[in-house]
Amino acid sequence: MRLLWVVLLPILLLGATDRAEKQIYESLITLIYPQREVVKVWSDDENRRAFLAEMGPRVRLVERPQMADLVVLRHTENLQIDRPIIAERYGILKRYRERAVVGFYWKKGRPHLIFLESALRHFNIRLSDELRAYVVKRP
Amino acid sequence: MKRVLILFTLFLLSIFVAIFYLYHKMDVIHRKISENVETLFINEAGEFSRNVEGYLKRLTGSDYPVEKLMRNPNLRTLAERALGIIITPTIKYVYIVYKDEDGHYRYLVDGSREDRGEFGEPINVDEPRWRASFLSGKPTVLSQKNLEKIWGTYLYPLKGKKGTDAVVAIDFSMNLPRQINGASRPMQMVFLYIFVAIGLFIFLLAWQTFLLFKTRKISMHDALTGAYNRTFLQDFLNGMDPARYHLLMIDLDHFKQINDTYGHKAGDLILKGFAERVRRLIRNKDTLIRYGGEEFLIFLRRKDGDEVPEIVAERIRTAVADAPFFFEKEKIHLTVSVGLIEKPERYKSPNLAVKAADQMLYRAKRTGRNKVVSDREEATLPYDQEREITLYTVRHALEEGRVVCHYQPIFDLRNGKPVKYEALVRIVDRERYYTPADFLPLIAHTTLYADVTKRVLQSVFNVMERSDYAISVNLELTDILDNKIYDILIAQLKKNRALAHRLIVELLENEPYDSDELVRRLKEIRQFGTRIALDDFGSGYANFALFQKINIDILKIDGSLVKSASVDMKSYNIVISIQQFANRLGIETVAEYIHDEATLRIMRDAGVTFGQGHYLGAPFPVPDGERPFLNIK
Repeated sequence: MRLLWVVLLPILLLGATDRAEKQIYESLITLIYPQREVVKVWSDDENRRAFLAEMGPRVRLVERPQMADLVVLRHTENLQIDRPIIAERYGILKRYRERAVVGFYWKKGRPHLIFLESALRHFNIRLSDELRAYVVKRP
Repeated sequence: MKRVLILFTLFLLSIFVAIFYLYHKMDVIHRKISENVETLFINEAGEFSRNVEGYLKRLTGSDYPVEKLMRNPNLRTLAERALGIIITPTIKYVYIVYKDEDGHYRYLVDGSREDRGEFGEPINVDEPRWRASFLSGKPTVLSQKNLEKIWGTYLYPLKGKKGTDAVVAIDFSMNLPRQINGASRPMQMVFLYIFVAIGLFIFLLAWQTFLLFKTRKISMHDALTGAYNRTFLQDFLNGMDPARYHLLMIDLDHFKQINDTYGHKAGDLILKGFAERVRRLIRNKDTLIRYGGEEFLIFLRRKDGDEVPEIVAERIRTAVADAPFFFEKEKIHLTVSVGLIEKPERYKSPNLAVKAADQMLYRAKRTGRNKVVSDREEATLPYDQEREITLYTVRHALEEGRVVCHYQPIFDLRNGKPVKYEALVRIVDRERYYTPADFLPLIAHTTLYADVTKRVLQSVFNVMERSDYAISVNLELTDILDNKIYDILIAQLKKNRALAHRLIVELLENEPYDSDELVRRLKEIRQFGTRIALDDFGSGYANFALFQKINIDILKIDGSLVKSASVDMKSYNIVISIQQFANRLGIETVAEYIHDEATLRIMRDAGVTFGQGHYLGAPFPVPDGERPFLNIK
């Protein structure tokens, strides 16, 4: 928890939001796919797609969620696909509690990073000790 | 000027400091207002929190409202509505957070209008500080601020049966600092601009001062030798304490000949080399000044235990005399004459001390050059300020006709009758007379010298017109070679052609001259019937070659020989020898300084033709219009 406040918040508040977000997304992708050189990603948000398209060669944006290794959701609530999901709203995190590995969103001016234990287990993802503090059993 | 500059700089600095103080003070006031406002809002948040707690207790009918709120959604809805009332532009979020069984923080109730958290929704918080609030059970403020705004969270614990069940969190955020900053910013900027402008001004002032000093340094140094120049000297003399210095005036002997023989390039090289040698022999605290062409002044700093100035002067003299200068593999031997003023404070002003040094230098040159002449002997006597004379005094005396001649009779020692007179120049000033020793060194290198010479010749011919006697005038050999003096003499001879044969030109041999031009000019003078006498014969430079080339009519035996002839056998023998030499060449002789009967008898017995001296007759003035010399016996 302290990591989030000490490291992430200052980075985000210092105006380097875009760059900081990229770093966070890179970290999350690495966490979910530590060995994979290219990760195919799909998002239901245009802005996020544009954002992901600029993340470098490791991230390849795909047109359909079925083609993706990782799905970033902000709006869609009824996607039937068994892929790790990064939720960009609490509602999405709650909706996809079995597959939403992590929720990363802003609320009340604070960045929220929440890992769901069930999804982590489902996709067999291991977290470092530092990140274990952000794991919750239920959304 | 210096004081004004210092005061002005201090004034600017004080303004600079005042502006800086005001700028700083405004910042402090700004910060204090922010702190007070922050405190005000924290107090307000505290008050709200207590009200929320009271309300929740009333709503749930329990002293521990969290338990009931956790179980009853309707109560949560009512609570959320109530909390929403608190929301203002400053208080943005009001919510209640509890800790779940795993220690994660989750929303219980959220009265916020935006970003509302659902019941049970996890919330990321600054865990250590929130935990501290939970554990302590005391209100905690988590606040931050910058120049733009103050923001933070007020945490108010809601107590349960076993400690804190939840906390009421009030997030406040306000941009009052920005408003204060916006109001005070223009004033701060004005101060800042003034601050920067004064800073720039001071910088420019400092830069200008630096340039001024740099320019002054350049303007006060002689480019050739690196020594200070006369501009510096004038400043230096104005501000110096004469009691802290000894004064040396040094002149390079016969420097003109070096320039004439080897050219100015060699002259420049020697001047430069001389200055370098001197610098090696004096200390940094001493001051070397190029006074004129080949004249230098040294102000030696005085301190008890320092070397006596004579030693320094002598060291400089020998350093020049012992080691020749080189110009294009040519050895150039040089000597210097030094005038030394040991105690410049004895003089009326530093300027007069410099003049006195010039006089000492003049004496050194007159008495053979390559020597140091000090005022040490004179310095033991109280200084006679009345004797000081300036160029202005001489010029003024010339204009007012107070440059006159006194006439000393010269007697034929064989019959005791006065046969001629020697004209001796005097300046009359307030019923006293200045003798040539008082003012000739002063004017020697000025145009006044020619003016005085002209006046003497006019005066002499005027007196000759009114008498039948011959009159002698004194000139130096160098005067004959000086075009201006020579032209004056020839002009006067031509003008008074009928009297010219009664004029005797007494020449003083101060320097060894062997010049065809000198011979030619002396011959031309003699063509007017004017006779040539050699003054002070027996001392200085006795140039016998001169006797070969021109006819010398009279020899004036040096006064020091005459004075001591009655007590010193050597002097007596020299006088006899000079007389025999004169007899051989058919030259008349004159013995000067006959001061007593014994000297008179000796000179007469030695066969000296003429004699003069105070014993025989002191110099006296000749009033205008009178027929002179009638009463002389």
